[in-house]
Amino acid sequence: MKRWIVKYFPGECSGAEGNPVRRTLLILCIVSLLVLFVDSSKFLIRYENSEPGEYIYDSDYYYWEGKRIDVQILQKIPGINSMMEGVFDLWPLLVVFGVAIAVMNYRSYFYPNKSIYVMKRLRSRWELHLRCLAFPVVWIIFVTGVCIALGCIYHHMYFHNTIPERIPETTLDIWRTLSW
Amino acid sequence: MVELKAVNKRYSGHVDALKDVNLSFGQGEIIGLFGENGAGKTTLMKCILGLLGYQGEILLDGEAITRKNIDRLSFGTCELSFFPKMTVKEHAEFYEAHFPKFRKTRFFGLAEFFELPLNRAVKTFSAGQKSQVEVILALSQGADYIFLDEPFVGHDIFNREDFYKLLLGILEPTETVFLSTHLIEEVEGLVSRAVMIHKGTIIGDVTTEELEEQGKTLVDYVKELYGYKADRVSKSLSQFGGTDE
Repeated sequence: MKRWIVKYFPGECSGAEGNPVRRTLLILCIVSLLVLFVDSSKFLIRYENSEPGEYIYDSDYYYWEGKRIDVQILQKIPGINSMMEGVFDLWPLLVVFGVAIAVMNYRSYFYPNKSIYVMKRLRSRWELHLRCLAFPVVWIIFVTGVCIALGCIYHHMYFHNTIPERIPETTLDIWRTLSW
Repeated sequence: MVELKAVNKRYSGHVDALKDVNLSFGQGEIIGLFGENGAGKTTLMKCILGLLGYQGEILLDGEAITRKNIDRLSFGTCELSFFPKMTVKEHAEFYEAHFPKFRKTRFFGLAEFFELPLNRAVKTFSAGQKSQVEVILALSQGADYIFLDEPFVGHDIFNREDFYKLLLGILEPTETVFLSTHLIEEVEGLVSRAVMIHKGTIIGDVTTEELEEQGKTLVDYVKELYGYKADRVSKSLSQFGGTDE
């Protein structure tokens, strides 16, 4: 497993030469993920500000600060699309980052050396593409998975932690989460 | 046997790099490919190796050269095709993993001969050492046909002379070396056949045996083919008022 990782993921010992070293790339990836987390916390801030569920529910009535509240006058919180707007606006940039790594990987076989001449003599025509695309594909799948996981968590929070009467008629528009 | 039949190569801009090249060479030959800069030497090698498209036919033992048989050909080029960040040892591991006939003993033997550090990234080597790595990789791949394009760039004279002797000693009878170089005098004792290319066309193809029978050296033969005029220098200098010493 370790040999496979060294082989297909960039670094000093990999076949994809000319790339940033593994450590630099890992740092860039960790920073990107941290920024993604911080950026997506827009939802948490908005959700917190809307005071979604501070009310206590007891025997068909809501109470807030000891006072019984008529559910009809409870204010609706902003719809989920407003809450989630732009939460994952960094995802396209992270995908572009992955594509840029793939381009750099391919380029490294043409500059500074022409190691493409060696790759073209290998029996497996896929070896070059595996070496160039393994990390970028894994990266794109990983960040997409992180966004989907966070989206599911936020979606769950919104619909399950909020007093039902306060939720407006709404369904999630995924494209709004990517908007800038 | 490698056969080239009516091979043409035209680059964009209507530059004919190869014109109707017909050539064949079999196992066990050491062939020198000579020609002026831009004659088509590198283009010819790259077409054989499938690195450039071409018109015509190039066969290896009667079959087209594909991924199935391409590992029977190796290539050492002055453009350098090794992996700069890998060490010499890591190159051996890579070649062993991807070329079933990789000659590990020969590889490490040649690395020792050239006194190459095994555990340093090749990108940190001198220019001469880098071309040495390039050559030993081509020689150790386990190929039947070894193409070397200007392999001695950066080698000092001592390394070159020792290398020629070593090459004659290590090559097996079935191995063929196809070598392009400008160092005609130096490789005269090494090659068994000389192919001359000029402006994309093969203008000469002779064995060293034939040259010996004719009482000519390889340099004489090349000069003859190129129509080299021995008095061109003195004529030019006389125009400038100098002398040819």
